[in-house]
Amino acid sequence: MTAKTTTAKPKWSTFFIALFAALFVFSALFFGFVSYVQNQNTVGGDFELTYKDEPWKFSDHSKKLNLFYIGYAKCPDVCPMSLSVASDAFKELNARQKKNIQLIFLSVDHENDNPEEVAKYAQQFNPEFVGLSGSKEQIDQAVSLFHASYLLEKTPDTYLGYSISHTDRFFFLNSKGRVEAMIANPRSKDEVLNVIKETL
Amino acid sequence: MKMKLIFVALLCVPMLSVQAQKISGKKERSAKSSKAEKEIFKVVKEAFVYNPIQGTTVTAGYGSIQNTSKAEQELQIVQAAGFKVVEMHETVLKDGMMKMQKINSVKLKPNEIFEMKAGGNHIMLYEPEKKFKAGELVTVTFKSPSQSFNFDFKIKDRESVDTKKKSSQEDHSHHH
Repeated sequence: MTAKTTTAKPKWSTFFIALFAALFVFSALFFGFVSYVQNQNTVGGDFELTYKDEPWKFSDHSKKLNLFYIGYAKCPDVCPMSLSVASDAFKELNARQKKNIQLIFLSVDHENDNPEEVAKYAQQFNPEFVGLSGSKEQIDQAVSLFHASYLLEKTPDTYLGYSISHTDRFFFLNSKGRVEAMIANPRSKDEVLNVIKETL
Repeated sequence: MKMKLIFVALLCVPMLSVQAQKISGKKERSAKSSKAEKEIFKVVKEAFVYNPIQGTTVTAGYGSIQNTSKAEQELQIVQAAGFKVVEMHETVLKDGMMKMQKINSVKLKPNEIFEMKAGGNHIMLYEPEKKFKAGELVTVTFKSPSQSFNFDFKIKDRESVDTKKKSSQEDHSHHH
């Protein structure tokens, strides 16, 4: 009888030790995986558009840091305001920073903004700003990469006849097109400048 | 005969003078009346229009207009000199996107201010008919149901538009 009870105890303790060890390993792997996924820049990527009637691929023209903004040239309010804010921020960068950064403006108004006009439009804010357009497919592909959105609505009561709702956000992309940071509703030069300095 | 003509002329001078005074008085009253009417609204914050840029046919204007009367007033936009069309719009955040929509008119209570600023209410100007220079004035015509009135919006180049730092409380109104 005594021998039976002494042989049963080590089995239970071994079981619990094994169980705790398994739980520890599982937890470590799980949280390690979650941390790994969280630290990965999963939003963004390479995309192809049109610059002045020429094909333009992000990976062929990317810089260390790329500000990406989605809008349209006939937007009178938030698009020019955001581009002006970026322009003001760029003026305060030193030569090294300017060399490593660019702003890409994508017009989603493929029916009304031709690539030549979009390029010219973006350059009005800063000669180095890149204004892009493209086919609907190209635009949609680029927009979806960044989980952004736009919506064209007919507005027959306006002179323009349409309006485009769009994401109002600066995406800060690394050289691979992955999103490093974002600023929603950019209204302040200092806000943009701080993120540039943090990410460049 | 000469004496008769001189007599008639002498009689006519005071009559013409009286008529001239009457006409002058009417004009003065008309001017005063017009001035009184225009005081229904006034610009209380710098009114400006961004200089149109290449690559687009639209631009925006901002400023603040106050109803200075003692009654509710309705404000509508009519035209802007040098542009084909002008409309009042507002930008709103909807479904995570910035959406622009037309405002046909706005009703202002006594002393209420209609503020137009970037990312909110604004005037949208289409198809400039000429090239503008910074500092030039664009006369924008508004109307209420009873009258129309003009405000001058100053042309401003797009630079230094850090909206969080921009001080625009100063009254730079140019009221016609």
